[in-house]
Amino acid sequence: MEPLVRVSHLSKRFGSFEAVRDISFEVNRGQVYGFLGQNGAGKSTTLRMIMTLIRPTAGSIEVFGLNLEQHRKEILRQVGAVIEKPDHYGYLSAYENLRMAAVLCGIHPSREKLMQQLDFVGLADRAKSPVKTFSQGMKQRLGIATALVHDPALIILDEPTNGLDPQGIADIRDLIRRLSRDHQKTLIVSSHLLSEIELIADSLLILHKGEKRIEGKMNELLNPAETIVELELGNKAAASILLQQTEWIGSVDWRSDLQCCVRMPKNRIPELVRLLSEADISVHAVASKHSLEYYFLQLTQTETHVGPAVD
Amino acid sequence: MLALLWIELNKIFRRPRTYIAFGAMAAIVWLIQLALYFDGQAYVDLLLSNLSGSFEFSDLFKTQLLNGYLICFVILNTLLIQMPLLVALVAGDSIAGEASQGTLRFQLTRPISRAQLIFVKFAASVVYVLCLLLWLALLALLGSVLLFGVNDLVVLRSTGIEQMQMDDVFWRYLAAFGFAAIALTTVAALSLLLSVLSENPIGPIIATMSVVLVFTILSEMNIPIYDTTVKPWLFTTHMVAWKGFFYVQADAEGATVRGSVENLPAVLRSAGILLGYIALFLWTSIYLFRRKDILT
Repeated sequence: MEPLVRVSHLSKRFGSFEAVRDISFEVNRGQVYGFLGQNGAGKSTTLRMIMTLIRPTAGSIEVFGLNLEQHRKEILRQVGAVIEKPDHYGYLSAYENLRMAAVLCGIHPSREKLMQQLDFVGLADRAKSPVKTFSQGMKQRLGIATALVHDPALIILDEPTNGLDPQGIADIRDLIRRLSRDHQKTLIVSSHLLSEIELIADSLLILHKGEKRIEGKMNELLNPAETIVELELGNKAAASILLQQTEWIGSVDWRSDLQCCVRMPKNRIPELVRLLSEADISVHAVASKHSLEYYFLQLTQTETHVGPAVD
Repeated sequence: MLALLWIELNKIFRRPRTYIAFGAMAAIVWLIQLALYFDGQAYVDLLLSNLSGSFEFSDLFKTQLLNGYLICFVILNTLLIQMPLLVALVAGDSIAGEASQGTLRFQLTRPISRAQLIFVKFAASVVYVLCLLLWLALLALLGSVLLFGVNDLVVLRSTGIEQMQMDDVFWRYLAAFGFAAIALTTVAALSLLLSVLSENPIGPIIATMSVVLVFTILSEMNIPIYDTTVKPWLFTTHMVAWKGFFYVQADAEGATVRGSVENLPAVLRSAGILLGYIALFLWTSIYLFRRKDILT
């Protein structure tokens, strides 16, 4: 199947700073594709390049099988986006902002149709209110309505839950799920929170300092059989030997004299605890994390590059 | 394209600050009209004092001199120098203002080209300029004619006086307002270009005024080397060419030739140079905007 978005060897340099370095990925039709990375990882720059707000220094972007540079207008007719925070004309009403977005897309929907769009994002009762009176969550929902006004096949949402309260986050999450499940839209959603992406995305790409670190399907990346176990132990020397000798232990990463992280099958955690006890090594704490969360935390907490990128 | 223009005009005219320019103009025009209504004769005496050595003026002439047409000329002379600031307030904000608010993204993530957007914003600025001039015409020309009546128009120059019969004046004002539209559109195009280069609307507004100020000073300075090399190419030199419609030709007996303009080719040349500047500013704006990364 032809991918909906194909990004090849994309780079962007601002002077001497390389914001995005040689990244490639593909988004298939109907997917919710998660873009994960810290602030400054290059997520927004990449999404801005897809939306033609920024010119790439190198590489190419194809959307719907068309080259973006050569078919910009044709492609943007089928793409809706909210890049970073949604900005509207504060002195205009929600309805007027939505109508303006429609006209900019070359369509003139009826009032009824526009009201339906506002209703879809839960803003029908505030259609006549100036946007400057809206909360951040309402602005975010209006941003999504303006992105959807021309019924695009591809929707790009950059940090859609930023600055929202828990209810607002839940509303946006629900909206994304409905767009994917009920309307068969393809979505690219960026976030700096794995927990957010985990709940909505089918596939994931992790960016760090402008480079691609991990890409894959969520169910494969969040392999339930494999886990990272954080251990707090009493005797590092003895524990090191034991862990090295145990064949089903994948890797061991000592974070201090007491703490280490062990990659291993999840179903063998009780067996590991038993082995440690039998060797008279006191176990003060055991915590299990899935490997992706561990990987992402390592990326965000330290500068150390851990393990090879999974492509 | 018309729908996009409608959006731009909607944005301009829905903002309360747009009306500051209209309010400021009304205040200045009304203050001038009020002063001349109550103390016009003193103003006429002051105007004629420079010429009293060369000409004899009857009291009837002095009374007739103060009419709606002359007052409109005085107002235009005063206001057309200040109007670039009012134009820059809107045109300078058109791209940079949207960039600072983040609404430029709102527009550029839609299927419209950047060249289209520049054209639309320029067209909206032109409409704004025309509205300002129409407002000025209503206040200064119509208002003054209603308040002071009409009579022959006498325009004072350093070289003498120009006299036009009252039925030979109205078309000159139409031509002058038309020329002013080209002159102010040049300022709008410059302001739009500076707006493309900035992400803060204050910058282009101040920069436009600085350019206009420096060029005006250069245009006014009497330095021989600039007279032939620099001045003919400054757009500010040509912005005041609207006055040419009020400089007339005289016949052998010294009487004004009806419908004449002293140096029409010079006026048309000035208009041509201003149109050239507009094209240059617009083309440069499009060129730069198409290459600009939108980072706000």
